[in-house]
Amino acid sequence: MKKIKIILLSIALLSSILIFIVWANHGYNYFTKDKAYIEFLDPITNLPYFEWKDETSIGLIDFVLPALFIESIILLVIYFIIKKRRIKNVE
Amino acid sequence: MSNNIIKFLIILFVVSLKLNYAQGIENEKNEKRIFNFDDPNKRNQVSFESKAPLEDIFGFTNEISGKLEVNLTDLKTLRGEFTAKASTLKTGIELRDQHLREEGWLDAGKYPEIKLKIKEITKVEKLADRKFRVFAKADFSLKGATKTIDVQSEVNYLPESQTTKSRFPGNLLTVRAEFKVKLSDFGIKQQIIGQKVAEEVLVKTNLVGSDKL
Repeated sequence: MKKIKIILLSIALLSSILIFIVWANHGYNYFTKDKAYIEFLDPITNLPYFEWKDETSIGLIDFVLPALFIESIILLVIYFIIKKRRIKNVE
Repeated sequence: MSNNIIKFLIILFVVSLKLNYAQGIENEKNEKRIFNFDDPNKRNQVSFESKAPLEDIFGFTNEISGKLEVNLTDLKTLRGEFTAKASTLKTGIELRDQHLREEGWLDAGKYPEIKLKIKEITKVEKLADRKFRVFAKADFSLKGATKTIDVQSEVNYLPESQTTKSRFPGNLLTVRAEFKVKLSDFGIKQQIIGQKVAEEVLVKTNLVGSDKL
């Protein structure tokens, strides 16, 4: 049981650190994907014209990192609840 | 013999005059005309590209105003100024746009306008009857600093027709220009420049002006 707790706690801490490093180094691109744009060619002037797309495409990384972050927080909360209960039981 | 030399010199002089003579549109009125670029439909655009090792950023604005004055028979007479609103630049992420407007970057509150003023046309190359490649020296103002930069553009003159009328009334002048802006020249110095933001940002314009706007 103790080993499992240590493993869970390690996963939680490592995930948090990993998420923080990725966030700190890559900023917007990993948590928020750039809004896509469309390029048109004006038939009269032959000049390009850009427009933002209404919908944003979401990459896998946009799910994975927030999911890891949430998971690590949940694990930490579970760990501290169990720990608190144990202390109470001992008392 | 001396007559031949004189003839040769005259021909050479005429040819050199023709070569160095004003590059412009033939059969156009020899007068200055003003093209207004304040598009009421906001179709004029200025875009920028930052390509850095960790991140590529693309953004643009439709809030452009400006005027060009030119004698179409000689494009070297082209002068004018364009203004873009710094606060209207969009990059596809709202938070990044917000950061872009902040003090460390464009400081849009204190310096709301980005300006490009054409000072001198250095070279004109004819690409088609009414289409030219124009090289210019221009004053670029950003965040309170002004630097002279080289601008390369394609200028296309479209005389009024049924087709052009659907865009604007009057004769149209399109300007597709590009130039590089070194951020440090304008006091933009951030740690992430070189990693997530390029040291030199490529700026492009897609502008249409009319002499009847």
